[in-house]
Amino acid sequence: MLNDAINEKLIQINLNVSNWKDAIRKSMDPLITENYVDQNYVEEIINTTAANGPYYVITKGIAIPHASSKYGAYKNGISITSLQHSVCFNHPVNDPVKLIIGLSSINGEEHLRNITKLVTLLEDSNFLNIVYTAKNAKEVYDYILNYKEGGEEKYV
Amino acid sequence: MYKILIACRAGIGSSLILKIKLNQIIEQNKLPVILEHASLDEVSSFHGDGIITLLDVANELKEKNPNLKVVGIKDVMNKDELFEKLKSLIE
Repeated sequence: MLNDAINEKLIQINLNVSNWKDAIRKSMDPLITENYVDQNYVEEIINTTAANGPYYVITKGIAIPHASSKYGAYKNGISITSLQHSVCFNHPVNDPVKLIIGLSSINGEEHLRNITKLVTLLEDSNFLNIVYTAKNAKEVYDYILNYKEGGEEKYV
Repeated sequence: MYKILIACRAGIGSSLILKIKLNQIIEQNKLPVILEHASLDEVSSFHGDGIITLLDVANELKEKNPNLKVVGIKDVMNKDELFEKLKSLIE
């Protein structure tokens, strides 16, 4: 199921960014190019962050920027971006961020399944290892394509 | 059964992951908890035993809902933290 939401074009490896805003824009860029979200969606994430803090830095070193679909999301998608140098989001405990997973959701069952699979990947140290050491997007995408796991709908 | 609400800003990302992780803990520890899920705007109409959210939203929710127990999670992938904070709402 995740295979529908992720494709190789949505994965970027060792991206250079100058600060958190740059990191958000560049990590969401493939979702704009591939027509998952529009520019307004990304600006909403940046504006909300500036006003309320980085609500999507959910664990050590990992950010999952997203906004409500009403700001311009058109299909369910996930972008994956590893950073060449980690960047500070001004989060009280989970800085610095090295991996950014951009979410686009039009809600519904498919999005729930995608997020459940995403959790399985984030629990998988092999996956994180590959994301942080991959030389290109294909290595990460191949790992996701070949990923086998059970019970993915159990916890939602 | 205790009724706990999970809330985050948009209701589509952090809170869904939080729900999945908390359900793992509830199942593994056989805790008498039912989770509900909402965006921030829907919190005020919730009647239950407590709210779990992310750290940055917790203070805002406490101010707006002084009669509800609210805990903020620092790291959604940290099972120990999730277990302790979930327990604090049902004790």
